[in-house]
Amino acid sequence: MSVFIEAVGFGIAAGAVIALGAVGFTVQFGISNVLNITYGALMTLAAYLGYALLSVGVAVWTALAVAAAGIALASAGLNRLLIAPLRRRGTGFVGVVIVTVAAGIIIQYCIVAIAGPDTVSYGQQAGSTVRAAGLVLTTSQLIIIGLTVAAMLALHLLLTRTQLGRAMRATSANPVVARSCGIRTERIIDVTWLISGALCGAAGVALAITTVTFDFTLGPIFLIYMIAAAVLGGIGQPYGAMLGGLVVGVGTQVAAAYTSPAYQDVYAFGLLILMLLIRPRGLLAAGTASARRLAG
Amino acid sequence: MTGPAAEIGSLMSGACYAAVLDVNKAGGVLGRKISCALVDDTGDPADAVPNVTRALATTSNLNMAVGLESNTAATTIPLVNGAHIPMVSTNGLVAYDKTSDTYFWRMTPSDDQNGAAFVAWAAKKGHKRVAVVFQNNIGAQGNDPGVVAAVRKSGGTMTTNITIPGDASSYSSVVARVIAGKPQALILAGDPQTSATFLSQYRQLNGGSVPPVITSTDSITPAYFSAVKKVMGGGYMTHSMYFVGSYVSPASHAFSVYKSAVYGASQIKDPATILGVGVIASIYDGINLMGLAMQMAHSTSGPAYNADIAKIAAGTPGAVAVDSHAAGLAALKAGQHIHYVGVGGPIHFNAFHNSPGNFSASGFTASGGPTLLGVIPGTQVQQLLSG
Amino acid sequence: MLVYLGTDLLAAWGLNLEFGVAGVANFAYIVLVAAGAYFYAVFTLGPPAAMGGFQQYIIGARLPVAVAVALAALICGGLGCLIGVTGLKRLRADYQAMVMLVISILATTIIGADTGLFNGNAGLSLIPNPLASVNPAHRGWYYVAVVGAVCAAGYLVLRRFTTGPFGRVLRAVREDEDAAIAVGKNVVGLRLAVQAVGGVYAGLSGALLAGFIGGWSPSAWEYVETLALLTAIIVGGLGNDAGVLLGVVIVPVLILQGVQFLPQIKSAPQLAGDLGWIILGLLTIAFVFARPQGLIPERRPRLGVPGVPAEAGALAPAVGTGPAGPAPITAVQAGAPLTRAVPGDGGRAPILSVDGLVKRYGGVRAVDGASFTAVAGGITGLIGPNGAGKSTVLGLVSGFVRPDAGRITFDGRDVAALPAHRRARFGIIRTFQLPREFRALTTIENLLVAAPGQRGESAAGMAAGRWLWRRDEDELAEAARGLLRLFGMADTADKRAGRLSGGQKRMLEVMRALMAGPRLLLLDEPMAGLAPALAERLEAACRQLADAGMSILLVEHELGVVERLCETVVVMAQGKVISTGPMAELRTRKEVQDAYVVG
Repeated sequence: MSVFIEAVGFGIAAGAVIALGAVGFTVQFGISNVLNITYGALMTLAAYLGYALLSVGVAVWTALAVAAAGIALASAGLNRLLIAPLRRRGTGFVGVVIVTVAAGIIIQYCIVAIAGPDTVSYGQQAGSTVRAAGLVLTTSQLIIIGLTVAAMLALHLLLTRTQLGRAMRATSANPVVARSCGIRTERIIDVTWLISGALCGAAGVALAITTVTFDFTLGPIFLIYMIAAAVLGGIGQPYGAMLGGLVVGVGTQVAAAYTSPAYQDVYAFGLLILMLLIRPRGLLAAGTASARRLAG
Repeated sequence: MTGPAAEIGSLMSGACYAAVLDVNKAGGVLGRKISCALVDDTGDPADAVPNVTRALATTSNLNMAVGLESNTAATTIPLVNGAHIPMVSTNGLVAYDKTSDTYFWRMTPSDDQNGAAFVAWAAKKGHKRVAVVFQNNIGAQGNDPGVVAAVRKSGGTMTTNITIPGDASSYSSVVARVIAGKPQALILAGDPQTSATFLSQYRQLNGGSVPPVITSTDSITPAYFSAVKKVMGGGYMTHSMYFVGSYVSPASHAFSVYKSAVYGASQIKDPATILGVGVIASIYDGINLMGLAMQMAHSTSGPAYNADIAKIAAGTPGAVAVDSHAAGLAALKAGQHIHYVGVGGPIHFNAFHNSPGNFSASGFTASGGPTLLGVIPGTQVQQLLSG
Repeated sequence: MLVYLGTDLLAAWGLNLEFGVAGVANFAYIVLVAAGAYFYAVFTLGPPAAMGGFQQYIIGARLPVAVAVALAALICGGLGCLIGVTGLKRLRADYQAMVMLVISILATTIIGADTGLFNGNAGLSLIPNPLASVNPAHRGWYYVAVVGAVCAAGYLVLRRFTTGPFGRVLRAVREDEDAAIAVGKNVVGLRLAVQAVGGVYAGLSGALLAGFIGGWSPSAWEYVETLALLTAIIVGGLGNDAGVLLGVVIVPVLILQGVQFLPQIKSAPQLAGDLGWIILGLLTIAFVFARPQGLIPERRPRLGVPGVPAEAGALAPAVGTGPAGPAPITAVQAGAPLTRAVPGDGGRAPILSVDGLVKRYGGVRAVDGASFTAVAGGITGLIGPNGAGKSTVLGLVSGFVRPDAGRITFDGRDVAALPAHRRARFGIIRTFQLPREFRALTTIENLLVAAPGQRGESAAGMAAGRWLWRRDEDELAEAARGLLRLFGMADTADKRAGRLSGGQKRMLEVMRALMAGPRLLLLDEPMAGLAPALAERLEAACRQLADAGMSILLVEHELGVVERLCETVVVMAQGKVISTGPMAELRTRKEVQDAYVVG
């Protein structure tokens, strides 16, 4: 039993990092209707940005904030320069996906060309270990968990309680109608990419703190976990992404505690495919009404 | 060379430059200068085949080949063998323990022998309880059977034998399982990123202490050092990390010749690391050996000199022992039979052209260079694997 | 290098059939290529123990190479089908892309971790070369010849799929899935078929590759390779087999291999490879942006009548007395598709009866126990204020929307459980409120694709080739041209449907439905936004169709049209049928007036 509780604790810590990225991913996907594969490469970029800052003596949490801001701009730029013009031309979903894959590859290999293929390291940033109720967590993990919860709450409130949030949801539901209601959808999409970019940047640095050492493949590998979390929770729902992140994190860690860890990802991804095939709208989307109830 | 083995691969090219420097200084092979042509295998068989094929077709006077690493060995060796070009391979595939490829030679151990050597070193250090953690990549998947067999034979205890995925964000649950077994040593094989993440989480969850790590000399690289040092600290690096692999004898004259060549070759960026890895030295030895065999056969044609490789390595009664290309050349010119003893010590090719030799355990110096800590006799390792 | 060109080409053709022609974005395609290589390997290798025991794998059957290649290709066809099953859920295209992506990563993880299956990450080696008996010195060129021959054969077979009626229906599915279903195409079946065929090409490619290389491991099929293939297709020309050949020469060969000939930079030897991928990414983006149709765009055949006089385009005041000559409906009936329209027998038996139909969306009851009938050989109107549930009823009757309760009886048969394309084959053909033309097909192709029971679309048609379906095709084209003349659009026959005007697209929508051989035509606001002259023409056409015995259910806002055309009108409000009767009578009824005031 203690093994189980311990694994759950590890899962929550791992899940928080996934959720942090997934919250941004799900909002971006949900509102702008773009499956953005570049998200993974931007996370890598954030991790390297953080590394550059750390190596000139910036504190790790400051680096996280700066990387978040930087990636927010990069993300909004990506939308403005690449995705929005494509959507205006009426390029289909798949065409846009292919472009984001290509953009991700470009960023990834530019990072290699500049930073080299070798691994880089943040050093030990975990802080002290905290033990409580059979759970073992480090202070940095606690901060990341806090950050994730805060991001999720803030996004949820933004979406449900503010004018901007209502405009975002309207844009998500039907951009044409939203535009005819006087919502400046282009601006809304820009804001969405800015916010999700900030979360992407924060998640990139948080991930690098967790893995300690990483190379240029960091983000793209991790992207699949975030997609899994976002889909499990239902695309577009911050709470869902949080829940999905926890399910994926706890699932893989518990699996690793009892079976061969080499297969831990297989369970997570298998679950994702099943989910996509059986309930593509996610765990929380048992009809919009109940989803709203669960989310609120 | 690039790809998964990029780091060790670029170090290997250093051995070639060093050997070429020595051979040419001594007057070349049959009076002609030799040079290195690097072929990139990218770690992907689908890329290696055309690249090697192209090299075979376009490089004139391609008379010997070295390297041919595990990732792509099984696809490149048949090509080179088919072209009747003698090669000294450093691959670790168990498949080549028993090969009938005429032009294949190997002076380094296969992966399972390496795995057994890990266990032999743990036993020598008095660690009876070992935890085995392998990343599911090529080399590690090859080491595992050797480790398992050797632990059983040596009467030790394997507290955990676990395969982990590479580059995961969290190994906490695995680490907890390993800690629960209370191991005295970790046999941990993985890439720098995986190893560093694993060890850092081990330290977090085990109150700051981590048992010594035994791994392959493939990891005694600057990248590994910098990745792991940042999380484990300098003290751990120099006192608790052992890198087991092919032996080089730093006391021999052959080594001092090798050393001055490695420091002398302008292309080499990191001479200290190159000198510490036995597998790399075997490339240097291999080039010397093949060069002398060409000299002896008065031919650069593979079929003509291939058999002389074995003769020079084994030595005939009354042959002069030589430990450098220059000495060998002089003796041959004087009409003597020669017996080459290289940086890796005496070479005993078996019926399958393998000479695994002895094993060494090395550690990091404070600056990340390698330093020899001890020798594990090859016979002891073979014993752990027998039966 | 030429061998790689050939195997890449086979793979790219397969993927082009799936993605370029049929619109299935198979991001897991490289898994199928890999599977082909693995299965070839384990079929040709002997049992693991007899091969030295150093690598583990399943099967180890030591089969002859030809058998192994064939089996590997077949298995990959099956796997392609299996992956295709994930498309059964009718997910949005990017969700499907996501599923494929995850499948491909899942496959990499499992195959890499499971050493017992295909020897894990170390991969398989010593895979027998199919030409082992040939002198190694010449083997390379022999191999090129073999691969070349397979490619040539592959091309000929591929043309059967990508051209003719079959290629046309695949493209229709790509352009608009629902519209294809509405004219009775089994979209799921077609997709599965295409993914099976694509899988066979992938399998062939992988098997030939593994036989040539002699080894196969997870590092040979990372998922970026799928991007390389996609880029090749996009650059060459989506849906164009010759374009793909050009694309394969440019992308994997010239760029990814070519960068290795660049001068090496000593300090960073991997830079050349990185550069290759960066160029590839830029190229993809550039083409999607500037030239999405590729270097050699897809071509469409010209099927319009050469030299049709412009008179057909002139607006004839009343159809039937216009230049088309004889009564148009009989002219159309001369062609195959419309002969199923049963002449009215005067009995006025209902051809459709709907009973207690319910459809809920979340908590909203869009249709709430609607019951009505539509008579055979006449026009039944369906009217009601906005949000009354008219379009939902149309969706329910045509099978696009699943009912929560209720019965739908068509011609004496309960069709409520049948999928939409099966109902279409029985003759329930719908149009869409917003025209959903197959944009990249020509106008006349839009009509041809709708015709039911084409031999050229069948497996037999493809196996036999052109001679089997050529006559059918000519007759269909004649019927389609007749229809185009009838609607005054003969001069647009060879124009891409995407370029038609809004009104023309609406007409096309109706023409396509007629071409599909309807017995009950469901028209969803066909007059909305139509220029008066065109609306008049459409109204006349409807009347003539009804006179000729066609049953029509007409959803329309323009009550004048409804009054002129329909004998019986069903009025809906808030999901329920509130009244039924002739329009003139309905106007006087209070509940109808109330509904319209409230609505």
